[in-house]
Amino acid sequence: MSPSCRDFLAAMLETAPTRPAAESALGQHLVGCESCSAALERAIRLRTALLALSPRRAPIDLDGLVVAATQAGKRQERAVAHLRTALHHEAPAHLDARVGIGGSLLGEVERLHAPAVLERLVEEELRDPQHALTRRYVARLQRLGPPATLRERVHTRLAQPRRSALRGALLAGAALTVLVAAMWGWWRIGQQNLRPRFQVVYVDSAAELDPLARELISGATGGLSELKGSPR
Amino acid sequence: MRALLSLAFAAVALLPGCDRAGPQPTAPQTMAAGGGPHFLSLIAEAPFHTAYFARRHVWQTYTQASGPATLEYNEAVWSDGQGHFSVDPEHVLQPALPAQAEQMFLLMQKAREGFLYRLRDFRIQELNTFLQSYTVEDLSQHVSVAGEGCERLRIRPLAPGPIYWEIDVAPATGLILATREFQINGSASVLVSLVETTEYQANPDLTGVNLHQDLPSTSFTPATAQQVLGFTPLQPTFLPQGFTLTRAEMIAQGGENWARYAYTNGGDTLFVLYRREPPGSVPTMDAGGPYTIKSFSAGRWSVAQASLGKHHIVVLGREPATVLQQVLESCAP
Repeated sequence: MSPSCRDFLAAMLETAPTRPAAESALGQHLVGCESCSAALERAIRLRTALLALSPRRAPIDLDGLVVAATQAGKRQERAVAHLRTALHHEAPAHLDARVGIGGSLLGEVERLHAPAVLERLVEEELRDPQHALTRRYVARLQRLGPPATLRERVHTRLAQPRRSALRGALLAGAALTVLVAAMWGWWRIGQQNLRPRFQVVYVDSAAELDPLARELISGATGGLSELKGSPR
Repeated sequence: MRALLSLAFAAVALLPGCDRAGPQPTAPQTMAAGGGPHFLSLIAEAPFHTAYFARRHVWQTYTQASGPATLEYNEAVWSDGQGHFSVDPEHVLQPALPAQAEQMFLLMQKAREGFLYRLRDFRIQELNTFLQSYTVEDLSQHVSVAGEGCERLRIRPLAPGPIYWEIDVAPATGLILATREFQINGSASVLVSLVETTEYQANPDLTGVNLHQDLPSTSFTPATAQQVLGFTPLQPTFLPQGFTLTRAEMIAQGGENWARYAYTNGGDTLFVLYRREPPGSVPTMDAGGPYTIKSFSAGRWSVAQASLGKHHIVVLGREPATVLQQVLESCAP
């Protein structure tokens, strides 16, 4: 198979199962190339067989999974998973030999320590990786701005007077009513306090009355109120 | 003697003037058209415009703090038909009184004969007002009282109350010769007062009869009150329904002027007496404290008194004691 055959093979895959025209470049090539002609026949049979199959629908959640898999967070999650898997593998012995582990090459290098804050952050992330992942994911979400219609509505509302004249009059009237009611109640209480509070004493004998009242009731009752005799 | 003088003042404190010689009121057309008794218009003035003598049996009972009490006695009544009268109590039948106490009681009854004749007995004070406060029912009963033919009427107050009267009226004169006062207790009616004529004589010989003389009084109006009384009197702002002012007079007792207001609903009478101490005097105060109303009831009569600083007020009437207290309170400055 010559390099030109690979090019014609790609063209055959696109035209199959339709045979190319004899006067076309592919047609003229097939006349002289047995392998490509055989490849064409296989492609025709394969495409014809594939087209004869009944198509199957993709899973409903495939679209969502594909989209999610392309997001940065998902990709990072996969990377972290791979890294964790990779950490479980020991380096090959010849690599250790190359870098001098067990020898003196790394041992001679001054040992560096990570900053304390880095250790704390790593510790927190390892303690609750899901929380750390969510925090980073949310922080990377794209911040969306408000729609233009909302901005217009806010501007329109702010441009209007905050209180109409009628509403102000109603509020003033209500306040005045409450004030008048309070003043009236206060005045009534004052009046009641000014009014004398009488107490009534019922006496059992006319003798307990002043002389005038005693004589009046005695006269009006024809002497009935001053009886002190005994029944016959 | 002091008691009699007090009685004399008390008598003048309540009794109206004796001028009854004015034209007799005529019956309302509605009364005549409605078939009411034709003598109804005579009743108000009959005791003063009819010359007669009557001996009457008086029986009264009421419940007091110590139990039920009954007063029963006889009295002789004269009237000259010119507005003058005399009431002489004769003998006390109940309660049993020592001779001296009975004599004292008879003297005091004589001193208050004006009360007895004008207030104790059932009266129609003013017919038009009376008919607005009471109903008159002709029982169509022809009875004989002391040999006089009478028609029996039943009088009920329009306002719901426990009292009603049955009166026997001589149609020719309009005189009430018998009065029975009943109190309704549940479904029963109990007689609580009886004044019944046992002897009757028209146009009697009045020789030797001492007719009652009212003590003088002076009428006043709001415009002349200050001049007549020496002070501006307080008046009630609350009155029982149906009561209107009929008289405002000045009476004097021991150099002190009292304003006496008389109100009536046509039948009953309500009195308000007021006195104000002169400027510079020390106001008296009731032992019970300021603004204390003392109230006392005997039978259907009640009296309420109070001294409000320099203001002295007495209210007397047949209305319930609580009503009289409201009348008195409404006088307060």
